[in-house]
Amino acid sequence: MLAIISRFLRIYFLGLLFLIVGLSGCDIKPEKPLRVGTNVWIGYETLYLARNLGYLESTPVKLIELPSATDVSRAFRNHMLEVAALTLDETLSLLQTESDIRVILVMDISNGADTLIAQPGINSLAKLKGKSVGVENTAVGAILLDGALSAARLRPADIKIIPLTADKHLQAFIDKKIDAVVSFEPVKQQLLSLGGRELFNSAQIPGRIIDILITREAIIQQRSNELKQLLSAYFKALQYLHKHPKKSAAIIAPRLNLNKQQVLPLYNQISIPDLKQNLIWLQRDHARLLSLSKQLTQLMLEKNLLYKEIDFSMLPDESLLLPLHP
Amino acid sequence: MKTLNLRIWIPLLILLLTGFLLIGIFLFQLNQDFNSLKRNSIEEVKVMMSRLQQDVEKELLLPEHGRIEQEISTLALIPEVKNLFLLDNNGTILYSLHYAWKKRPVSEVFADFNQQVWQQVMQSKHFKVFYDRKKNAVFAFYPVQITASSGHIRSLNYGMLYLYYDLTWPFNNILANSLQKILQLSIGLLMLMVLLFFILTRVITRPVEHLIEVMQLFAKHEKPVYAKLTGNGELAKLGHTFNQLVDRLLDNKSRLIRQKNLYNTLSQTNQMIIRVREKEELFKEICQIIVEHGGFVLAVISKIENNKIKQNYFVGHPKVQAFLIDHPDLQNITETSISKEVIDKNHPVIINDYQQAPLTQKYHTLAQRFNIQSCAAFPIRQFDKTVAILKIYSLHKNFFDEEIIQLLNGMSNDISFALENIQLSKVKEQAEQTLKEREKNLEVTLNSIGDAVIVTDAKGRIARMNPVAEQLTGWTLDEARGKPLTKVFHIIHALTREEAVNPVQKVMQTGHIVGLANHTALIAKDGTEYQIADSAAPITDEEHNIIGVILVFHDVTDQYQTQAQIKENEQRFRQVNEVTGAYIWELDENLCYTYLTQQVSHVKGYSVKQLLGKKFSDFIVAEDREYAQKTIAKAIENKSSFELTLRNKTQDGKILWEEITGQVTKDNYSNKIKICGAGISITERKKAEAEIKKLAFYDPLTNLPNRRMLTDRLEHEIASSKRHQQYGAILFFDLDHFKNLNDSLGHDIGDELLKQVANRLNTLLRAEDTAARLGGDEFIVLLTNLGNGQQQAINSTTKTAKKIHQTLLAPYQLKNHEYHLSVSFGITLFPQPEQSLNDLIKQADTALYRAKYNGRNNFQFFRQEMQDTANQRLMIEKELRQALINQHVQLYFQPQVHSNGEPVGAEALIRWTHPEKGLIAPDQFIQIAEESGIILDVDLWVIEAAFKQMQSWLNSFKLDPEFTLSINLSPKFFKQPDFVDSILNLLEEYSISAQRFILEITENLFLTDLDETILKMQQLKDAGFRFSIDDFGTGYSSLSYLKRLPLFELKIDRTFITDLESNPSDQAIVETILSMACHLNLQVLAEGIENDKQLAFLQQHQCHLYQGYYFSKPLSSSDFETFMQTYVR
Repeated sequence: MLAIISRFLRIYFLGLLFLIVGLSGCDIKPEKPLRVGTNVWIGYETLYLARNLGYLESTPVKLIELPSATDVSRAFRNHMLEVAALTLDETLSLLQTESDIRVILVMDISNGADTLIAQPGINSLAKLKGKSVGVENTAVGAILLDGALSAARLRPADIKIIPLTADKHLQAFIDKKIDAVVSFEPVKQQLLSLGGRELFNSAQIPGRIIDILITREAIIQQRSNELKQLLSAYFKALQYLHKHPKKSAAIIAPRLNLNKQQVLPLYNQISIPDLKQNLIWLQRDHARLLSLSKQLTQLMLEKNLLYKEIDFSMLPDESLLLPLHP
Repeated sequence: MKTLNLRIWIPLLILLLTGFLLIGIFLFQLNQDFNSLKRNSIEEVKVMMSRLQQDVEKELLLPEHGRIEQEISTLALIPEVKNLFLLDNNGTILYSLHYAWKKRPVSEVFADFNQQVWQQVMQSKHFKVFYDRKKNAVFAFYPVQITASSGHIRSLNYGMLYLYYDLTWPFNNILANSLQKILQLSIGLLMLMVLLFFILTRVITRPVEHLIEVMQLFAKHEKPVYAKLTGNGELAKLGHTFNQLVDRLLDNKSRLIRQKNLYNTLSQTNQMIIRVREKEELFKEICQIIVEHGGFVLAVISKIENNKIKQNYFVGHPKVQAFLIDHPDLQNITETSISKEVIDKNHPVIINDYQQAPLTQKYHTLAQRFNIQSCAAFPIRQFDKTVAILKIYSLHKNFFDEEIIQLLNGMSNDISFALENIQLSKVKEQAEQTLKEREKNLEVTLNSIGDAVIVTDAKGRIARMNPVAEQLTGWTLDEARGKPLTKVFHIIHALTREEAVNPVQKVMQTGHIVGLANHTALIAKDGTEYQIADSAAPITDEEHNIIGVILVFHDVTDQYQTQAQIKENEQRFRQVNEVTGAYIWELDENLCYTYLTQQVSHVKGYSVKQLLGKKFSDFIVAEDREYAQKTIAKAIENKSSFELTLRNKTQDGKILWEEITGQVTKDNYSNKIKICGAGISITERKKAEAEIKKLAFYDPLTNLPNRRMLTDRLEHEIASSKRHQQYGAILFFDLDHFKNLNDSLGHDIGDELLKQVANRLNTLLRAEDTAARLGGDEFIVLLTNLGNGQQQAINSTTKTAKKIHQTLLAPYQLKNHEYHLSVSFGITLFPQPEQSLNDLIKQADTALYRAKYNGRNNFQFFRQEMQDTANQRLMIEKELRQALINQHVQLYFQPQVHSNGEPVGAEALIRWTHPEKGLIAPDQFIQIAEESGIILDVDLWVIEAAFKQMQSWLNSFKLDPEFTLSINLSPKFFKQPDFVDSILNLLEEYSISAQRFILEITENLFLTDLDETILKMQQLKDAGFRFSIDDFGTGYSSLSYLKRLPLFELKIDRTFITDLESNPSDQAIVETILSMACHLNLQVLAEGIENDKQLAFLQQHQCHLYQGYYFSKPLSSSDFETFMQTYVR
């Protein structure tokens, strides 16, 4: 009898011990989804490529597709997203209300992907005078429009600015509600195929428009491992993209609502910094990001896109990228 | 009754029960939480979907549906929303969280889609929300009215909103929270249990363990140990009870021990009494036993004499013992009072309370000091007289009860008895001892006497014999005892062999001492005879009655024998000396003669008088002196014998051989060294030996080694030749027609011829060669060290054979006759595998036979191929001589060319065109020519021919002033004394400029007589000749001679050029030669150039003169002229 009890006890204690050790050994809290919000933009497709290739399968990363950057920006502000893919200017706007934003990745630098396209017949910038121009109320729009107007020696007052979110660009153009539109890929392709004329693009103002991945300081503190998994998957997908561009294009095309052949040319209009370049962009003390931010802030203040001074000095965060660097 | 370990089991049981409880609560709570989550989620989904349904339907009425996408996308922000899409009635996705799925059939992109429910909902047009346990998710299907194409107010088209609301994450969240709680509880519980464990340990286990420990200790040692437990607890009472138990047990035990000790003491005392034989020892041991075994603190035995204490023996515990030893005064007065009481009463005295008793008042302090509590004193008697008092002290009060007193009394009685016994046995022992000693003295006296002693009783029977008597008679005392004397002591007259008179009888008759007659011999038991001298005397008792006879005798055999021997030895010694001619000598430690016999004059040539007192070495020849002195010195050192063979020098200078044997001894009395021995003349023997040796190895007629010696040498040489890889040769020859000479002119003349032949042979041969006469007219010449090549050996042998042949052919002058003889040789070479010495001689003999058969006066090798080689050589020699005379030799010329292409000269090379054999290459005859000396003629011919040719060219062509002809000179020619003159004479004869000629010499010319060589070169240089070193680099090269020589040119040997383009070491050598020549300011010419690569290399390294087939082979004079003309053109 005693022997049976003692044997049972031994098992019981062993079990208890394992339970305690097991529970204290692993992270008790299950991983909450890490929500990464993006709108549709060729530069962000690498993330979806990663998801498609299964690189994100064992991670809690949940990619959330939102119709426009404005939606992304809003969701992030409302803490509905842990990570957001935005342009730098949108990020700077966010900084007015959210001070704990960190840039953890520079995804691309627009090199022609952002564009100003006019209805057929308007074939020079100068002819825009007095015309209506649709533009998303973002800094990208402002920057590009500013660049275009400067090139044409026009003042903003010379044209009629119609605020228009990106998801409505195509429809408005088809309906001829606007004479020209400041837009970006993949809408650009669709506009061009409708006979639109590209009068100006970001290649003419190089290095001004960049797309970045942002998160919050607190999230870096609590969930750095998951963020690293995300970044690592991103770079892995980037590698895949370089190695198998055609296969990648086939995967990317449906989301952009384009056919396979149209995808790869899009990449000519952006430049994607690799890990090394990213480290230069995000380097702690003298990041390239800072100088660009300063420039942009200046511009945005001028254009009343910012209603107050912002402190962008804490933006670059290279801490997640450094461990990826061999 | 089984018990458990409480401190473990109590916490364990509590832990077990609480553990079960916790797990139960946990599972219950978890179930509750899950259920509420499910319910809440379904409610949430319903609210969310209803709103979305409304919004979508509203939006679908509008022409633009942009907001639908936005709304759907926004819902994706809810973590649980895994999938959400809007389908049309065909199941095609209109809007989705995944933009890529748009416009694609749902079944294609989303495998998990539940078609069945979809169909159901589409039919009933009623929403459905349910929880799926398998997927752990809530699914919602909401029908949506889809606007048809414009025109219709209401459409019957329905789409559907589909939601996949994943509860995995919230579920896991709940589970994790619960687990965390239960973990915290478990840890708390565990810590409580550990605390409980420690409390139980402190309250129960420790005291129990202490009790156990104490009990175990008691069980093990049986010593008083007590439990130290306090308080009123049950355990403390248990401890107290245990302590009482211990006290009782110990008390009983000590009683038992005491009794046991006393019995033990008694038993030990009795054992000891039997063993011990001394009173004092007895006393000491008793005290020891009492203290040791009886457990008393002190035991004292006081020896009593005249009613007074004489001495105290005591043993006590170490402290008491030490104290008493330190205070001897206290020993004596220890209770004199008690002792007195005992003596007075002659009865034991018992004091059971020592420290209070009045009798011991004086010693109370002392007793307190050592805790002495009681004492008992017993008288010890010997033959009813008190001789000692035994006092025993105990540490226990009232120790001496009746039982113990009785025991101790018994013990004192035993001691008394033992004392009496000791006394008795001592007296007995003394008496026996005295008797034994007397007998022993007598025995010793008799045994120590050197004479034999036999004692008989009155009846003449043997009573006693000493060892000497035993030895002489051959009887042992045991055998002889009781036997009549005549049987044991058998004596006869040594000369007459008659029985001698028994001396005992005589003594018995006369009653006086009787001596034995001379020449009495004792016949021992084993028949040995001893010459003895003896006397017999009567033994009388107090009344002068003869009770026995003592016979004393000793052995005088040795004395008789020694005397006889001395006389005999003297006689022998004298005879030996006379017969052998040996003499006897003695030397002192200075090696001076102290004794000599007359015979020495025959051996040394000096008289005894001349020698005595002189140093022994003065008469030895100087060469032998050191050896003799060393030998003797060594013998002195080892005190050993020695032998010497040495030569004496007589007064008139004659050498006499002598053989000496000697012995070094040490005089025992004077401790001085004495050397003595004998010497004998061996001069005659030595002469004979030398003669024999000569006869044995040399031919007496010619004094050449004979067959035996030759065989010895040959044997040695064959072995040596094998070892050193050197060839040797046997030349066997005899004189043709010698028999005729002997017959016609007589043996004297024949012998004379043989002697002359031998003389000639001796003058011809090298030291290492051997010429031997085998007998008759047969000779063998043994040649050794002929080099390691067979060819070379054949050449050398041929050469030597020829030389011997020529020498022997010269006419002999024999008693006014001039005699010519011819000789035939048979030759064989060695070593040959498997061929013995005799085989070799046989081979040579066979070859000789063949030589004679082939027409005497020649020589023949045993093997045909050797013969061929030899023949060829002879042939070439002969033919070369003829060729020189008959002009069968010509000069050929190999052009020498400058790097600019111009021929600057030529090397003159000899060519021999044999009328029958055609062209004979120089390497086939130059060597032979050098060896045979024909080279002198050859060289001279070449020089003359070269001069002649040059003269001819000068006359008929316009030669470049720098054009030269190179002529090879052999070292042999160069070494000729008239070398310089012969060249200069020729130069004069042809009146030609010496500037035109370069004399080529080889490096080995400088190996000997360098100064002479330089002198000759200088003379020729002065005449205008220039010198070149041919084959440079292959011979002996030294910078020092290069510097001293009057040189003009170096010719790099062809061996370095052959592989020049491929062999890096050749390249290095050539570069070195060129660089060296540059420093020494010498011209360099490269020979043997065959291709342009070699040329290119040389050109590149600043070598500008060449010769070789690349330019031209050697040309006849006419061809050379053509060559020159071609060039000119």
